[in-house]
Amino acid sequence: MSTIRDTQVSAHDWWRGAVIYQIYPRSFQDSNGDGIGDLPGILERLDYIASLNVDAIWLSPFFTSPMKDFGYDISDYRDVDPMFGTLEDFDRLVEAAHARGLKVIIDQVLSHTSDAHPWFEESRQSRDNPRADWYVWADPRPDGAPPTNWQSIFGGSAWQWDTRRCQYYLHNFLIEQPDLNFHHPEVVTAILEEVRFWLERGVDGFRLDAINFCTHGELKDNPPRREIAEGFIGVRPDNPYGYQQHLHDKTQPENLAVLERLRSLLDEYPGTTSVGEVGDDDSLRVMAEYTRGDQRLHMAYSFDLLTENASPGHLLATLQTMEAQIGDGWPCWALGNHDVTRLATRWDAEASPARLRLYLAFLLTQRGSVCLYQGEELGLSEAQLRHDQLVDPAGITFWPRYKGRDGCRTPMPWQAGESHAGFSRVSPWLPVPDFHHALAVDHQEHDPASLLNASRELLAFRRRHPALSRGEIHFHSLHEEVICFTRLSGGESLLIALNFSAQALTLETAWRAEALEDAPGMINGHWQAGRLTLPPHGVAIARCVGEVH
Amino acid sequence: MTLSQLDPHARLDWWRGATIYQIYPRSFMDANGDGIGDLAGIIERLPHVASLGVDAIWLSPFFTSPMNDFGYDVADYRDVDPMFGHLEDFKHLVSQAHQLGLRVIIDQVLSHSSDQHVWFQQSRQDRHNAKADWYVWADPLPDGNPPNNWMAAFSGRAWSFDAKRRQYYLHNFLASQPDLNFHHPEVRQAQLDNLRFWLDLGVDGFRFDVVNYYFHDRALTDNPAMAREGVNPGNPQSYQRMQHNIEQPENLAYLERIRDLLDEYPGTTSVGEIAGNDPLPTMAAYTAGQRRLHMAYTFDLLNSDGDARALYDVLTRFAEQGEDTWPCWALSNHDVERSATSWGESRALLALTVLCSLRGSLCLYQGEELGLPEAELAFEDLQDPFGINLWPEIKGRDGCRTPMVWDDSLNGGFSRCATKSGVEATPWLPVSPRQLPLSVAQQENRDDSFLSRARRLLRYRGTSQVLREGDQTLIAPERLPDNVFASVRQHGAQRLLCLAHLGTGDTPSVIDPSQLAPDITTWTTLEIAGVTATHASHHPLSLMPGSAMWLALN
Repeated sequence: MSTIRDTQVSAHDWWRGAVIYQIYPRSFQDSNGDGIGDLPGILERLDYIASLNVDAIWLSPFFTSPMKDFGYDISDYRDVDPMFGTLEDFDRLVEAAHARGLKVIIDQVLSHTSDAHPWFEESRQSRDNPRADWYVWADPRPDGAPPTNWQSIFGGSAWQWDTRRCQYYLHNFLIEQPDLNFHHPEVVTAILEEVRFWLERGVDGFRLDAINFCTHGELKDNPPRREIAEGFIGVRPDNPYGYQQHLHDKTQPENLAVLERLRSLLDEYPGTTSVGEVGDDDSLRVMAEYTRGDQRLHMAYSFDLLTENASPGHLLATLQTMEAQIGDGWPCWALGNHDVTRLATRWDAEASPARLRLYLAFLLTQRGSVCLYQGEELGLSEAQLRHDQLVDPAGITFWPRYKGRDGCRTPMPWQAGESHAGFSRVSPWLPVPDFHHALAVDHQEHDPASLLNASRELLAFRRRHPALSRGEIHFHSLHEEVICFTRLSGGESLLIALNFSAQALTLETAWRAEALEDAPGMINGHWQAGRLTLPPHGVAIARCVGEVH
Repeated sequence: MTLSQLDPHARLDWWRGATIYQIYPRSFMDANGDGIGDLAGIIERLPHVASLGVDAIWLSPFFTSPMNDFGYDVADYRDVDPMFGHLEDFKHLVSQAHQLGLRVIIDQVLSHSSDQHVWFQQSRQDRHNAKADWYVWADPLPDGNPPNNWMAAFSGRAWSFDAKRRQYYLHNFLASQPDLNFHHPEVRQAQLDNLRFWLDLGVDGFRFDVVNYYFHDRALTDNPAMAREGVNPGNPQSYQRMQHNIEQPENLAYLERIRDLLDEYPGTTSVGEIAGNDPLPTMAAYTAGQRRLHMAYTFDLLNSDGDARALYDVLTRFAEQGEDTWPCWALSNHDVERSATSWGESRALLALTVLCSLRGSLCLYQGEELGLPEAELAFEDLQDPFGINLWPEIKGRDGCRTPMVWDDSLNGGFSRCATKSGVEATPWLPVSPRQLPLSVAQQENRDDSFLSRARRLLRYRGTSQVLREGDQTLIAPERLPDNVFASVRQHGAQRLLCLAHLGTGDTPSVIDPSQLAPDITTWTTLEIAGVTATHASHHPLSLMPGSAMWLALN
């Protein structure tokens, strides 16, 4: 197996180690005063994004959609929903982003469509229309029950009855999100043409939603699982989805051929990239498999660092497991996104600037690419919403054990002194929490010690040091509360130590390391003659002198 | 007070053979202009009901409800939903009805509550609160699936998962209609207490929604698959025989407790709705003797399309269940297509005539006296979850629930609501334009109108001892010309031969009454003008398709 341990970056390889800023369009900036963010709003804020020192933006879906799952239910892959603007707005956005050196990655939701998509409306008409097999249809069992025990991530059976065909159709997500049948060659061809449409418009890549769900397996019952280890949106003890080993409903071997077709298409447009979302019982293995070689995906991310568990033991185990399996594949790491509780709340850092900086340093020193979710640079915490304020169907279904994803989707706070924090002139689709005003961009902009400025500084530092973005990684065991590793690239060797404890630590090490001239101000730990001192939740990044391992 | 308490001379078994006029409150009359009917509206229109010569009204639910199933999801059994008015309005309605000689039967939905009911709100909190077992809770299977294969009426599983208890709860209907656990003695008592509340307010009886659904099999046994020929392919629930989710033997004892309570209020009555795979024996068992329900109805005639043979088969099968039972027959209600459409509009009056000839009590659904056909609705107009879920194969129940048509004014006189300064106000379901020419005002003063004929027919039935109480002998189709339905009603020396030609075309059928029953020598035709035909000569009779003839036998 050939491994890329120290990659020389080429222009086409820009994505390797890049930092991708995720924009959730509904909540970024409202320009037309309807309470919902839009593409012209994003355009207005591009200078801000460029100022963060990130490499790319990832736009969550802005396509035509009935919005049952807020755009992850697409009824026209080739158009912009009027709520967000027009195709011309999109073209302007791409042009403006490129002018600022920002790549543009867009979301593609290929696994399922909206039930309002013309393909599905035709498919459900009969069992013998031209698109009859474009979705996954199956007869009921003799007792009328669904064909298998598969569960929907959003609650209930994964099968929905349709009276016209007198059959069930598969939906791994909402009833309004029927799964496309990727075993049908015409489906694969058709969906790739939708992807090509956007390549022709000049996008630099795709984030691929639920990419391991495209191909389903034999219609056999999934076996039960003994322990429910949180690992994906639906995998929780309060969701029956988590009670099964997902052997047949997703991550089938045939999916690899789909990825290869997709990659061939992308390779026609040099310099484009892809990052797949993987939610599986063994996501790390699947990430490695899906990014191996240069014929499948460029990158993939899982939910392994998106859980509640912030213990250094768990984090280290995840990183080491990944490193042991990844080979020449490439991970993309994230600590927050539009599907999970905001990092500051999930990992208990709301009242702790030191922890917020620690987590940021942890994320930005990993080998792999990185997704940074809008507001993470501000340290936004989860909005606490009442049941009657919820709009996410998952939260409405599983309330109060699981409150859904609205709390991480509230609007960006831009101006502390404005109503709705400058996001919109009118009451937005989700409220801006009062306490987010104090964290608004304009408030942090002028405070040199703010998390926003610390983020900028650290992002610039990562960019200056290829060892951090693309270098090899070697983990060292030093202390159970400290994650310590070396990053190596070219001639540079950086030693990183992250203190996850609330205690100041002084540790004797075998290594000598010296301070970096360009170290960001937030780096507060240091080596002196082999002795490492780390403040509570402190971060040390230094240049190795001599051999480390 | 009940009407029987008010009038000491009234018969306590007034309900036997009575005609009950069903009012669907949302759609009868809107007095406050919000586009939805209400109790005050019903009071306004009671004289119309009384003019029909019926004995009672049955009010579909008007109780506090989130209206996910339009009131069949009750959130407070002891109050009126503000949409319909207040308890004071209800008391006023009862007293007005009694003054007009109309008894008042109200709907009781005991089998399930709304998920907004405080009982369920408490029950779902955890597994050990005081009402934890008031509903039917069960752990998931090891693979996370529901505990068994039971399916719900409105499509999908009969079980929904509750994240808080990490258990499933049973709902034979919508997920927002959790089934109460009647195996729990406190539940049984609580529902009896709710019935007493209304008896104390003077109601004359109850219509019990899905009265055979109260108890489930505690072992939660899977239902067996239904034989292929019994399956309605569009409805997954019909793929299984509902052997364990409903209709358990424990229910009989509970019906007896209900009857004991009713007997404390002399002159009150009860009519149970029975749905299931084989409802006729259940209907007989539930109404046998004097200890259970007074009356019950099934969907057998409600689903009829006016086929003579099928009518004979249903009625014969019911008759075989024993003499000691009492049915309540109906051709239309708020759950099925209007009979004017299912029988065909040209046979709407014939349908009513056949209904009025039957042994049993009768339910007449609002608008049936006008000959209203089913309203055609667009998918966008639908409100009923049953239709929305199973569209287009099953169009739901909205087509029989559109507002009553009273006159030619705005919204057919149903509601004064109107779109003002851009604020939309329309009836909750559109008034059917096809029904407007059949409004009460249009028909009221014409002697040959459907309404006038129906009124004559209903009044005749209401005062005819032989029709209300007489025995019934059904005449086998083999002894009759094709498509003719016939029965002999007898009370003492009085005998009535009821003939109805359910066929089409213009060739009369020849019938010799003396071949149909013993000892028939002479008869006189009994004419209800515009309803039953007269016949000049005695032998042989000729009966035109689409017509009915009643003969008093000598």
